[in-house]
Amino acid sequence: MANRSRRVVPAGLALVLALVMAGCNANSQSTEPTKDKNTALESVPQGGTLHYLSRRRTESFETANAQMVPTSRLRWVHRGLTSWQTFPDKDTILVPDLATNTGSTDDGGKTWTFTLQEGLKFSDGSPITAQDVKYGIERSFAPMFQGGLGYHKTLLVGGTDYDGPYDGKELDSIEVVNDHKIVFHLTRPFGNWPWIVSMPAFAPVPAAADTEPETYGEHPVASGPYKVTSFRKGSQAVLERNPNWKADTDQARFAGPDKIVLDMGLNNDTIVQRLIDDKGEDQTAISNALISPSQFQRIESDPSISRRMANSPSGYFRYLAMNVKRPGLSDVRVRQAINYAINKAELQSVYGGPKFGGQITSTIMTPGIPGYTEYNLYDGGDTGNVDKAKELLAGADVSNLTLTLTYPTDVSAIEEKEAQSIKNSLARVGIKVELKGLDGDTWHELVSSADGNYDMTTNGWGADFPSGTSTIQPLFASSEIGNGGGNASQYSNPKVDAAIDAAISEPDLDKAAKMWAAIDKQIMEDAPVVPILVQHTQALAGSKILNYFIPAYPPFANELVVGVDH
Amino acid sequence: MIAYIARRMVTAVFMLLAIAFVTITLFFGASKDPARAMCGKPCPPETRAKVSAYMQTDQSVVWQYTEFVKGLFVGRTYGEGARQVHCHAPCFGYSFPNRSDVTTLIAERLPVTLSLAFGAAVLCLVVGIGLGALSAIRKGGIVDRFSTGFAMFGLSVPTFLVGLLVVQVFGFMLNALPYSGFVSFSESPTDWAWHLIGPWMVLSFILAASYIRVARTQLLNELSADHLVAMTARGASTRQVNRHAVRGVMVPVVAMFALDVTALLGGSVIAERVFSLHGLGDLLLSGVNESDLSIVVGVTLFSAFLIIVGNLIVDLLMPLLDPRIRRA
Repeated sequence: MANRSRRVVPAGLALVLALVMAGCNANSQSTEPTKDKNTALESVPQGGTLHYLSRRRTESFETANAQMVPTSRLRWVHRGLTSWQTFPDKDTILVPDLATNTGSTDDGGKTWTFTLQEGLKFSDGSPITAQDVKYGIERSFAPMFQGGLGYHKTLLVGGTDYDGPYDGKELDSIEVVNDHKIVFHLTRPFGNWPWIVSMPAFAPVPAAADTEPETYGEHPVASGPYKVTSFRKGSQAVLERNPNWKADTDQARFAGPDKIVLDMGLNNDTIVQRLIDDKGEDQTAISNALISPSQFQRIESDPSISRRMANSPSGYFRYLAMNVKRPGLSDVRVRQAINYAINKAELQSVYGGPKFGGQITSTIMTPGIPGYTEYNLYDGGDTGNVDKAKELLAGADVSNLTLTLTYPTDVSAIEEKEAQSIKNSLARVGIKVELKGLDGDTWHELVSSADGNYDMTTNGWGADFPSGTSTIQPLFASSEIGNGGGNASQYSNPKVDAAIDAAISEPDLDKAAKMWAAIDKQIMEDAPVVPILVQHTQALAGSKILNYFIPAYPPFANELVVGVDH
Repeated sequence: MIAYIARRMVTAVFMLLAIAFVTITLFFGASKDPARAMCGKPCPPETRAKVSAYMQTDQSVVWQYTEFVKGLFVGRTYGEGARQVHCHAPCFGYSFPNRSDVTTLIAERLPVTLSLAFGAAVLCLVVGIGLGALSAIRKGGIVDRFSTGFAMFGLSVPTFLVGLLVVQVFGFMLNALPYSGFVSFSESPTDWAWHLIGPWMVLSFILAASYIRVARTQLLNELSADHLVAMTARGASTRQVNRHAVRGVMVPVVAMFALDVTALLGGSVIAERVFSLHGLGDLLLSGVNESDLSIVVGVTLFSAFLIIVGNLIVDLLMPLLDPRIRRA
């Protein structure tokens, strides 16, 4: 996922019936909770052909540089050490995948041990060993595979100086004890390591099969329930069952369909229209197309379509970052006043209203992230409290304040409207806002540079794994100021930094969740941001698709558990 | 003649080199950093620096340019030892997001663009000149009024709108044409044409508009030209007069057509996007979106090359069509 949510492609779509407003926000005045709360199926029918309509042309089954959640189509073919189980109505949990459990540490999270299940085989019949897992991870360090989810690259000892296995070198911090036991030596205690090993780079790759690394992702050796039987680059991939995969060894995949046809590089609007029309093979299709707000009304008005649309119960964190190093904004009372002044209800309607746009929020973490706790330090109601804001500004002895608000102009038209709404909100309390729309790259360089020549910016964020480590740390740790980091508020609080460091290290994730909840509130006391919305995602599926839903986290459907009614 | 062509070719080479320089400069001037797009997540400064060094985008614009030009003749190598990737000459650069050299990417996409351009060009010529000539011959008649309106509409309506309408009406409402996809000619010529009818219709509709107008105006001018009036007065048949008139029409039409075809060969971004066709236009757009310098420079140069060649062909053909130019 990325730090600009409008650019993020929902890797999946969503549940047919459930619009579960799980753990929703008290501010959601106009949302009626839906009654038809669904629970996930425990299995799906075996058989049938699933169609996947992808707007991406560069679909591949390469794991070394993939940036996709473990519940995405990549994992039809590849397993990891761990994986995720998702539910429409409760939090996502981590489950063992190739491993027998979700890992153990006896030194407080700096060394992690995983044991592989006995008897697992690749699609080519060879056994899946710890060495194959190690080799898969090592490949991800090769310069030709830049990109992807690379948390492990800086966490594994020696990772920053390692350039992959292709010149015969190994990464010693990945220790293969025997065929089934693998030990990771980290540079620091890291409590979420069991989640990190669910990521794409932790899929096993047999070194013998990696003769042409650049195209390995087109014909990989499969560890998951499907193998690639045909691959036409940029056009179509066909997957069929991997006979060596055994359902009783896998808690994460239902492997319902016998066959999966993945069509690539389709026009986004055409995909949505095809799913709306629901004809022929499209009845058994899912996709990664984005539904534009203009299509909501049509979908909503026709129950035969709307019941096939999934809506995320949670979503991306949308917020206004205030540069705390700037004159005016360096005073916490001014930032608190802005928190009171913003008319969040108007912003909600800019994004498409409470149902499709998002839920008004007042916290940093979103529902579905462990430790998420509802609270509101600056409760001005959904439309803001102008008097309270003015009072705080008067207390800070601030008048005639002029601030710049920067935002990207080439992502969607919404950012512009959002900025305009914020300008209107702040005009109510006597703060003049100058809008500064920039092209996406220039904007990103500006808000992630250390000199930070801007006052405020709007931004969005989606976590890569459900933890404060992937939500709070990237946005508020002082190490993330400048150098491309995500701390657009330039917020630096040594106490918060220390608390973040302790929470990242904590191997007991329940305990860590409580620590993150406290940090969330601690940061909001300093008010470096105005939390605006938990932005929803939507997706359509064909009428013969079963068990298709968006969990609270991640805001994409779990593509590994869908079935086809055939 | 040979000296003329040689002179033009030398100018063309310099022009292409200048275009490459401008493209590279503009790319970096627009604060595009390919390393950021390829850095992954998280992207600490060390990783970004490493990625940038490997992709060689950490060097100055002048360095980029010299390496690019060198690559055209001797190829280019990124990285070292077993970790290197090599891009063979003529190397237009290596696209890291696609893990492929740009020359291969262009070659892969060219059949789509060629198919699209071929059909659109033929259709547009037939419809454009046909309607234009008919309206000139029966000036003020029904055909004239229809085609003038048609041309007006074609000139003023944006391509994406026509594209979406064609997809919506013929694809979804009538279910008469496929809404996307491409089948190669070698695989099945009928499926190839079947999948391209939609985009051909869109492009030729947009392009034909100017041909209708040019053909009509030009033919009217010709028909009222002194030499043709004299011919008619001396009792030449309509057929003979028209044959002479057509020759006059061909001069601007050929000039326009050559340029349009070369532009089409450079890729039609909007039509390709609407119909999910992966030709050069789509490649260029993805290069811009992904901050992929190699693709942007490679495709831009390729399109520029086509346009230059197209211009050259026009200039060589013109004297054959129009003796006045020959004399000049």
